[in-house]
This record gives sequence, C-alpha cells and structure tokens, in this order.
Amino acid sequence: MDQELAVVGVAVPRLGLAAKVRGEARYTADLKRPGMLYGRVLRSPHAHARIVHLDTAEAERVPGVYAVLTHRDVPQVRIDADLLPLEPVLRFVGDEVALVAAETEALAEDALRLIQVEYEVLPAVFDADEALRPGAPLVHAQGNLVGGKTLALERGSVAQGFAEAAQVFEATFHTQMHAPVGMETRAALAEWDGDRLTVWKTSRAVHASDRQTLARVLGLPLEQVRVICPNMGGGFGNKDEGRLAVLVAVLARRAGRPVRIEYSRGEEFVAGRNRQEAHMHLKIGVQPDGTPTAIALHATMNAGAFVASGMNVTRRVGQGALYLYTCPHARFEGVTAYTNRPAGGSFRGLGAPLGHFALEVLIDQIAAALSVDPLDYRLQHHVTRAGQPGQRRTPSDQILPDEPVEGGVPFSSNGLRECLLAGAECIGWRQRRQPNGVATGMLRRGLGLAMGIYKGGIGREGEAEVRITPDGRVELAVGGVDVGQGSTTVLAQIAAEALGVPLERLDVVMADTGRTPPAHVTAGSSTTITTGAAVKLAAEDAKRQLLALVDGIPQAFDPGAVGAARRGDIVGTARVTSGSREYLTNAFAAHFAEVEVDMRNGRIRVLRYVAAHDSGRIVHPRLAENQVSGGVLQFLGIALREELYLDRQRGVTLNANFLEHKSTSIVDFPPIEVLFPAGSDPVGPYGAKALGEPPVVPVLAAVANAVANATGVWLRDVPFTPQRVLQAIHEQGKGVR
Amino acid sequence: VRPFTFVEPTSLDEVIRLLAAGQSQARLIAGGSDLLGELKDEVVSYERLVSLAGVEELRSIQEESGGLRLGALVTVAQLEYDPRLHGPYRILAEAARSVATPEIRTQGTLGGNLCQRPRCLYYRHPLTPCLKKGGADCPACESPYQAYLSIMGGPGCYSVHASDLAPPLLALDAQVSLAGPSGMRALPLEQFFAGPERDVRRENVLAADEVLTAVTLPSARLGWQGTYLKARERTAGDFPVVSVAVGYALDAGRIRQARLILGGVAPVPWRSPAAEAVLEAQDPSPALAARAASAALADAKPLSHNGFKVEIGHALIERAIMAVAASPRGA
Repeated sequence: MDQELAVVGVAVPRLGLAAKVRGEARYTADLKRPGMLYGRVLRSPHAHARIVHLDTAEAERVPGVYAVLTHRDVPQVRIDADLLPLEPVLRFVGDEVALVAAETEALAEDALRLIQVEYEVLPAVFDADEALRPGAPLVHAQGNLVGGKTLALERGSVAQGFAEAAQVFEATFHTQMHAPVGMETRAALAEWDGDRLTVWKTSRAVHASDRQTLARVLGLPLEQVRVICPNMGGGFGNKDEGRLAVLVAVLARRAGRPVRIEYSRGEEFVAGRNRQEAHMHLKIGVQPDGTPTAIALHATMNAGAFVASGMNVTRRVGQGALYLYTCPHARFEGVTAYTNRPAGGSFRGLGAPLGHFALEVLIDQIAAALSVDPLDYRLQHHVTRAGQPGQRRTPSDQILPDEPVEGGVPFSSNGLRECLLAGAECIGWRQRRQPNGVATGMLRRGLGLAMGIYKGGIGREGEAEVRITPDGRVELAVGGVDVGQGSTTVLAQIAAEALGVPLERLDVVMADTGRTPPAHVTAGSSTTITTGAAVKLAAEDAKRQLLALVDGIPQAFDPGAVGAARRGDIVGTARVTSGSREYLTNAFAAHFAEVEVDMRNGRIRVLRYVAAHDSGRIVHPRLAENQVSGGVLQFLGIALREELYLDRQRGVTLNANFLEHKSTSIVDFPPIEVLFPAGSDPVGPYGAKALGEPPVVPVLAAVANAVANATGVWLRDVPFTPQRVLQAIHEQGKGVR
Repeated sequence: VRPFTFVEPTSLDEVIRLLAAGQSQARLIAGGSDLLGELKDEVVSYERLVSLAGVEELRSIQEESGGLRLGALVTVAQLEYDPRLHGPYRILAEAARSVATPEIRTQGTLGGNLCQRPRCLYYRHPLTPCLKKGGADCPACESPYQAYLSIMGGPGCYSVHASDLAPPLLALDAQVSLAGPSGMRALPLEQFFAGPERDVRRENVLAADEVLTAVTLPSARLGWQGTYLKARERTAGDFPVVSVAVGYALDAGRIRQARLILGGVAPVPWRSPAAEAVLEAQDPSPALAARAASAALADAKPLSHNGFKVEIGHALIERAIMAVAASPRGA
C-alpha cells in the first residue's frame, strides 16, 4: 500500500478554474497592447511554386496598413533545419508568402488581396512512396528522405527470430493525416521596447523553442527576448513551432507598433501541424503456442513540407513493436518523406498510436488464428517488469533511455497485468462472444481490447524555483507551460506536499521566460515526472534552508518563520535529469471497447469504453481521469471519422473547417470509465509516471478489435468510416442482406 | 469576406425591387447559415445582400384550407417544435430534428434550407475548379472523397441536394410560392428543383429577382404516416450521406398513397415513382420493402468511390418502409 500523503493524491480544486468558468481567463488572442495592429498572412495557392514577381506597393498604400512583409524583409536564418522564416519557394497550399499589419483585421485582409504575386508553378508530390522514387519533384534541395536515411532500430536479430518461428503473420495498415483540433487557434503578439522584444504566444516551449529561436533568428541576446504564454486552449503536442513568433516579431518591428496575429480555423488546420499519414507493414513470427519469436515493423511516414519534431514522430511508431511483448528479436524501420502537403509535426502520442494500431490488431489476429482469448494471450506474453531479454547496452553509470530498444533492463514498475485484469473485470470481458464474428443479425455487438506502452519524459532536464517570502507565501516558478492538462495544479500539489504547507499558501508562475527558470518543451508527457521531480527537490531545498534559519526543527513547519526571522526571501532551486540508471520508466495502459456495428450501414457505435492506466501514483485523481477520458474521446473521433482530405491534383486541403472535418460532437461519445489499478513507481516524484499521451495510444486498436469480435472483419485502414467498414465487410466475405 | 452592403427592407415588394436592381450582384439572405459560409470562404461574393428578415409576414405557420402554409422565414427549430406538425405532418418535424445542430436550426430557415447550395468540397473551396463556379472541370468525380456525392449521375455535376426538409416535403406533396417582379407564382415543390441538365450553376428554377415566400402543405391525408431516416458520418452537424422519406396510408392493411423520396443521392431530391408503384396496394413486408428499395435504386450509377451509398440506401429504404408499417395510426 502506498504511503498516505496530504496533498498529492487529492482532487483539490484546479488552480485558475474560477477564472475560466467566469470567462475571465485571458488567452493570447484576448490580449491587446496600446497601439496594437492586426496581422494577416497571405498564403500560397499552389502546392509547389517559386515566386517570380512580388509587388506589395499597392497594399502598402492602403491607409491604415503599417507594414508588409515578404521573403525580402526577413532574416535568412533557419528556424528549423528545413525552415526559413519566409522563402521565395512555397512548398504546400497554405505556405506563407507575405504578411500585412494593419489597424484592423479586415483592413489587413483587404490589403493582402492587393499584393501581386506571380508564381512559377513547380511539379508537386503528395504521396510518400512517390516522393521517395528517383526523379520525384524535390520538396527540399537535400532530398525528400528526411534525415537522408532510414531509421532502423533492432534488438537481437529478427532474421534469426523469423527462422525460429513456426508461423509468421503479416499485414499492412494505414492511418490518415488528421488534425489535433485545439479549440484555441494559434496566436502571437509581439511588442518591441527599443531592442527588447516581448512576445505573447500560444506555445508549449517559451524557453526551449520560442525564446531561443527568436534570439537566434533575430540576432538578439537571449536576455533581450521575453516570451510569455498566457492560458492555452489546447496544446496536444502542437504550437511549439517558431515561425509564427519570428514573423510577428519582424512584422511588429517593421510596423513600429505591437502586432497580433490570430489564425483562422482554416489556417489552423492547414498551417498548424497535423499527424503524419502512415503506411505500415507488420510481421510477427510465433512459436506453435503463440509465443512471439520476432516482430518487425516497417513504416513509411508522409511528413508534409516540413518536419517540426525531427524523427521523433517516426521513432515513436516503433515503440509498441519493439517493447510491448516479450520477444528477443524486434526491429523497427521508419522512412519519412517530405511531400507538398501541409506540414506534419508532433501531436499527442506522436507515432505511438499508429504503430500500436498495427501491432495490437495483428496480435488479435494471431490470437484468433490460434483460438486463444486475446486477453489470455496478452496476459501471457506482455512485457513484464523484468523487461526484454537480451544484453543491456547503456553503460551502467548512465541514465537509461526511456524509449528502449535494448533488452536486459528491468522496468521500475509495470502495471500491464493489473490494467488488463481490472479493465476486463469492469467491461465484463468473460461475457465476450467467441470466436470473432459469431454474432448474427444486422446490429452486432463485440468487445475488443488493446494495450499501450509509452515513455514519459525521462532523461530530460527539469528546473524549478521555490521562493518563500517573509510574509509566508510560497511562490513556485517553472518554465514549462500548462497546456490545459492542469500541470499548474499538479506541480503546486507536489510543492505543497514537499513543504508541508496548505495549497492555499502557494502561487504558481509558469511559461514566462522573464520570471521562470529555463525549461524544456512541454512534451513527451514529461511535466509531472520531470518538472515535478525538480519541484519536489526545490521545495525540499527551500524547506531545508528555512529549517536551518529557525535553528532546529519547529513543532509545525511554518513558512511565516521567514518573516519572524526578519530576512529576505528564501529561494530553493533544483535542476534534475529525471530517470534512473537501473530501471526503465514507462507508462502502461489497457483499453477495452464495446461496439455495435450496423452490418448494412457500416456504422460503428461505441457503446462503452474502459481505460485502465498505470501511470504510477496519481497526483490529482480528477484531472487524471479527465486526461484519460479526453484522450480517448479525441482518438475515438480519429478512429471513426476524422481525416484531412487532400486533393491530389492541387494539394488543397478540402475540409479545413469544423463542418467538413468531422470532429466528433458530444452526442457521439460513449460513457468512458477510467481505472488506475496500479500503484506507485520508485523513480518518479511521489511515485508518479507519465499520463499526458498514454491515453491516446491504444484507442484505434481497441475499437478495431471490438469490431472484429462483433463482425469477424479486420479493419486496417483508419478512419473506420461507413464506407471503409462496408468495403472490409465485403472484401472479407461477411456481407449480409 | 469581401466587403458588401447589407440592406434590410421591410416589405416583400421592396426586397424584390432591390434584388432586381442589383442584377447578379445582389443576393437574398435569410438565416445566413449557408450564405455566410460561402462568403467567408470566398466561394462567392456580392456587392449587396438583401435581407429578408424584416418581412414579418414570412415568419408564420398558418392553417389554410385544410392544410398548412409555412412562411419561408419559419426556422428549422420552429418546424421541430410546432404542435401543428403532427399526424401525417410529423415526418417534417422528424426531418427538421435531424438538421445540423440546435444552434443552426434556430438560425436556419425553411426557405434557406430548400435553396441551400451544394456541399461538394470542390464547390466550397475557393482554390478548386468546379462547373458550378464557372470552371471547365469537375475534379470531384475523380476524387476519393465521394461519400457526399451523387449516385444517380450528374450529368456533369455530381453534387447532391443536401436538404433534409425537401424529401419529407415532397412526400407531403408540398407546393412553393414564388414572388417576383411580375407577381406570384405557385408550383409543386418537385418542379422547383432542377438538376445540372437545366443549368449547372443552379439547383432550382428560382430567378435571381424572385423570392421563395412560402411552402404550402395540402390537407392531411387520412391515416397517412411517414418517416425520415438519415445516414451520416456523425450524429450532429452532418449532412445526409443518404436519407429517405417514406410514407403511406394503410387501407385494410394495403398500402395507399405511397411516397418515397431519397435525399443526398442526386443533384435534386430524388423521388422514385417506380418504388412507389411497387408499394402501392400491397401489404407491407420485408420482402416488399426490399423490392421497393431495389426499384428505387435500379438506376443508380455510383461514382468510383461511392458505391457503398447504394448499399446504405437499400438498408435505409427497407427500414423506413417497415418503420412506417409499425408506426401508430391516428388521425
């Protein structure tokens, strides 16, 4: 049994909640500065083109227009390896051509129409395989293969593993380009004071991305740049790109006034960052009893015109195949192609939900072929706390990578078994009909399950500052961003717990480079586990200083003692690299879905959903539950209908709006039960592990496997629209009339 | 949105005069739920929008010579809740409930719903060519995204009429009243809609200076009941992939006055006299329903990626026919 704690583990009222409920919380697009102008962006109508002539004179003459910005007016310094602020070459429909700052948004938009651009249209490529063929149009001069090579990760030898297999199963899978659809669109506001710059922005990385990028591209010393992210209306792994901040800053300097840009919904869909389309081929060799001998996954990723997160999205595709099942031989290969599509990038879960979709569907297919209950199969073969067989490669004095390939390393904790058993109990798994497809009639019900493994933030640096003031207040400063997941509250709980003070004594400052220590990107489900570890240490440091000051150990620890001792602030600081030299620390999950399939309409209804998670000790039960159910909701929409439609002649995104991009509304969501059956972890602060992304990892496969149970039909192409479901029913010979 | 002037006259005459004076540069606006989207996406632009909102007489539902007269400005939400839409008229309330979302039903009008422009993604995107926008090319018929396109041919244009209200109104033998510079004219709703063979840029016979003022429902047929079923990708805020309005009376167990109209499958709401003939004077049964569905879809010519709509249509028609047989028969 975990030790009882005072604040950690309690569903305290979320900090800042009242302001949000009252509508007082301010988001970037709510902010106004004196004399502020409004910026709009002229976007490319072509998927691939070169600007041969650009005339802004007429736009500049419009009264109320203060500045027009083109590639001629911006520093030619790279924001990312593949991205300049503006270029005369345009790589997707929606790529930035020019910007205008004017007194109103309408004026700015009218002025955009007056910019005359003559384009030389270049051949474009939209498909990843085509882009990788010799002679394909080059999206970037250095070639369409991102990074110049295939990403290959292997444990053992899959060649040997397949040679040892009694039977080999394989299948191909496809997942679509889809959008995260944060309710808040991207926005940024820049204001100059002499050569000092302040930028307010929707951001996941005020320190690590925006401030660094701004200083570097604009040639400013770091200390002259301040970046602040007010409340965020949805991060979902997005909004860390530096282009918007750079452009708004240059535009403001040119206009001589503060400028704010807010994306329209259409721009958000096209010029934001979307999930890369993936084509995957998976091969699993098994012994006669089903024990895996080799797992090999190959993925081809369509990155679009730019990759914001390097190879991280691709790398994550392999995570499940490499580590979810005990198997001596596993290999992942990923190729990532530039195409003339809107840019891909990081989005909650990166590639993990995609690779898990392939893996967990093929595992169900194997279980079905061997007449083994898929739950029993997983109970028998999932990776255990002992980790994978093999030799450790990381030197023993180094912190282990959290995205493992090597064997021979145990997990700090592994609650897969608890998640499987608790979830199965909750959904009533033993009532599941077997085998797949025995249900009859027009409406067929079935149960499915899928597991997930996810690294979380280990191996990163976290910093925190805990200040105790003479009047007994505690101020916690961290540079990360509360992207809406509630980390303000969770980090305050950790500080309050470590200090032994009530939460009401705490103020939290986040996401302001002027007031907080540096921080990494808020990404990879790392805030609680990495920043949280720093917060705990900083609080303990402050407490130690205070105790020394009051000369001994008082009855009850009292921050007011600072005042009594007539001293200045006490400041506790900490900088940590999270993780362990002995253990891998990963989060785990098992999801269960009950669906009903209309055999003649092809419509899937998800009737019930159970999500069981091992994220170590849960710091805030209600926030954690919301995090899980929110992730499940987001991915049920992606499983069933959401997709960005791309016209393959012109590269136009056809449905960049809420009406035609079928984001699911509340009426289509099932009840979701969230379980946390596992206990505390020895590595994370107060035993916590990652939680932000794991909820989205198993969803696609859980739904597909439930459909297979109901109908006997395997779905391998996401989203599972009526069209695809009917097609699969017919192709697999299960049609009814 | 390109700039435009907005005028709000208070009489129908004035509305017509302003429309006529504006030539092709004036456009009528009622609830605006369709037109504003087109304007914002810059699919269309007009110098002048003439609002119908000030013409109060178009807002009411009136009982008239045994039937009902529905003003063009009656909102979809009014149709959903009006107590007079019961018995045979209930099918219209049922269809109204399936339109868009509660917010749009409160704003959107009956007239606007019937005059709505196609939802074809290529029509709605400013950067893609489309015959309806004066282009020479229809990329939609080559596209993989055809769930919301025609399965009954074009010709030329494969967009569908997406109205949820038109199929039940056709089932009720509705008439429309049109007002223009030379006075009023009335015609059966069926003749109001016109496919691309007449004019590819339009979906109905309304002239640019004409206003749809009312929809009239004849007196209720005794014992007639109908139902409206709609297949779509999401439950709220979606247009029909396929929809069907089916209705009939039962006379000693035999079907009379059968009506069967499909929505979302053709450039116009698609009435099937062949299916109605199959149903007429027969006992409702699953086998009959399947025959009627086959008759309704016998001429289907799906595009390369929407054959599944034929299959959904079959299921929907059969279910609707059997649902009407099971519905309680009152006045």
